[in-house]
Amino acid sequence: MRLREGRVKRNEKKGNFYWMEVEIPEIPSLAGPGQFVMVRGWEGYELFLPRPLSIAWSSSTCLFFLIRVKGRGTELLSRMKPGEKIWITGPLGRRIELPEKFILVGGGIGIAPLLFLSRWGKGYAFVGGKNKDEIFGTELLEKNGFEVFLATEDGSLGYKGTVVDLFFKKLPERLPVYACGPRPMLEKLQGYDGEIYGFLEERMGCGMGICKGCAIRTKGGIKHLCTDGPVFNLKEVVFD
Amino acid sequence: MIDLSVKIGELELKTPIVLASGTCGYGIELKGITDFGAVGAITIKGVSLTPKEGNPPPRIFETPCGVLNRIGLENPGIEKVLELMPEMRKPGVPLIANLHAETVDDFKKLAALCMDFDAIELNLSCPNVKEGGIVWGKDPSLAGRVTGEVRKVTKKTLIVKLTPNTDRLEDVALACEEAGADALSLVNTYQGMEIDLDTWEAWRGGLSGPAIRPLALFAVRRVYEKVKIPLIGMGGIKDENDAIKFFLAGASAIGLGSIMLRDPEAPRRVLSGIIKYLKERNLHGIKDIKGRLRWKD
Ligand SMILES: Cc1cc2nc3c(=O)[nH]c(=O)nc-3n(C[C@H](O)[C@H](O)[C@H](O)COP(=O)(O)OP(=O)(O)OC[C@H]3O[C@@H](n4cnc5c(N)ncnc54)[C@H](O)[C@@H]3O)c2cc1C
Ligand SMILES: Cc1cc2nc3c(=O)[nH]c(=O)nc-3n(C[C@H](O)[C@H](O)[C@H](O)COP(=O)(O)O)c2cc1C
Ligand code: FES
Repeated sequence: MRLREGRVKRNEKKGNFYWMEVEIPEIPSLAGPGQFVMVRGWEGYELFLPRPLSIAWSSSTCLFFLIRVKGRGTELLSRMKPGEKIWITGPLGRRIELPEKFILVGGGIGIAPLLFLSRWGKGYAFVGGKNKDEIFGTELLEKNGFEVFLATEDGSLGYKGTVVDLFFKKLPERLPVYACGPRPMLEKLQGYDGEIYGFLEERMGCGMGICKGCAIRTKGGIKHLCTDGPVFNLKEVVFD
Repeated sequence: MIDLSVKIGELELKTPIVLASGTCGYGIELKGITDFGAVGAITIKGVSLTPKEGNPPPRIFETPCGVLNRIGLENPGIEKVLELMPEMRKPGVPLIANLHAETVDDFKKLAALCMDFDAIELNLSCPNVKEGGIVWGKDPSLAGRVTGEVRKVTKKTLIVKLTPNTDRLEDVALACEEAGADALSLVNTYQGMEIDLDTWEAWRGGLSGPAIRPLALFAVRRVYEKVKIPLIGMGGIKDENDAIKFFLAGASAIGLGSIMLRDPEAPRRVLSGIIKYLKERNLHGIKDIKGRLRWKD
């Protein structure tokens, strides 16, 4: 998992997100479910740190990212053009063991790492966003054998309301759940009376366990998102 | 022939590149990523007598050309760290124990427990709790006293890491030298703060990275002009050019800190660049450039 140089192959706007394909042959075969990478699309030092991004999909030589513009770093990434150089360290984080059948619950950009999980099993996927521009990847999920349930807060697509409401309403079977989305969403999902795992987010320095910047609080004490996670048993997480 | 080895107290470094404390973990994490052949010594993350949980998040902020951190010295305590020794030894590079404590006694106890390390580095950027909470490294007599007391309990190479957050930097450096320090490392982070525009929450933290390089370079030069013991210079070094400036200012070795977060392969890159610079000028080692800047003002 050294620092590698890759090239952007495509970068397309999809609703509110960008779907970026990066040619970086060393990484895809190493990448497992639950893992992420640290990405830098600039050589200058003004933006000093790389940004953590989930592996949303992969082919034999490429990684795919789903990006939502938040600040300067993600904005620069969203503007990258095919052919441009990009630097990536990874795969990072703990690879998770998935059961054969499971449920995915993704809110907004939180769908990114769940798309990759769908490769390793089948089941049900609850996908939600503020509006239809925040819904991505439903065809991919269906192709991978997931029955998809959609929710938008403004009702522009699928159920009108939050994806968590829809999840608790429609819950088809009591299966292990893998969720990613904003903190309030994960907090509500802690109430699920079954196995529930969440992709957490915290500011990162290094992504590989050397800076101790990515601390999160769990019932078992301080853990580090980049080495102990990013996927945690949600029942163990202490949100404050 | 270029000779890149340097001596810091009793410590023989094969290269003048030291991994700074807190930005290389215990070295273990960098296995398979960093080329340790380019590394002269590893300074482990600061350790205390008892475990420290560190600060609640957020702990790290990016700032223009830099990083503001408030990790809060998280560590599992010296006992647990010593258990890592076999793993820490694997890179085959000298190990420096970076220590922090709130009392002279704790510093002494810690130092005495570090027999299996190759050197000890006292982090004087933390507060001395018994005597009014003043940061050790801000006050020459405090800094001198803790250095002298630790000197009594260990024969290991003793490095004192200086904080730049004092207007008495040179006096602190001199006090540590007189008290028996074998070397000084500088600088630690510069105190700063960050504010969230939405919530107006604010945090204090330590600034590092390229943003502080000119300040750090000046600090190293000022200390170099005052003391005779070797200096490990650091603060914002990102490439060989920065490293060479620190040598010219007077450093015997340089520390790579924040750059490791962005480019864990920086040691090899920086070392190759240093060798190229020396070769192109027919120079034979760090000693040929150390301290050799010429003031033009
Ligand atoms: C494990 C993990 C996986 C992620 N996967 C994705 C993904 O697939 N797609 C996507 O769009 N986003 C993802 N994120 C969030 C993304 O990393 C942040 O939105 C991004 O770092 C913000 O950078 P910026 O420069 O645009 O924003 P700024 O707010 O300007 O960033 C300033 C600094 O804060 C850090 N930071 C700010 N917000 C976050 C955040 N929410 N999480 C972590 N660091 C942050 C940045 O890395 C940077 O160092 C992920 C985060 C984590 C921790
Ligand atoms: C995340 C982080 C953690 C650090 N932890 C320590 C520490 O435990 N002990 C210490 O003496 N210095 C610590 N430092 C300071 C660095 O060792 C170094 O002195 C400083 O960052 C300046 O160098 P740089 O600009 O190259 O990072 C830390 C710095 C960073 C960025
Ligand atoms: S981001 Fe550096 S330890 Fe996790």
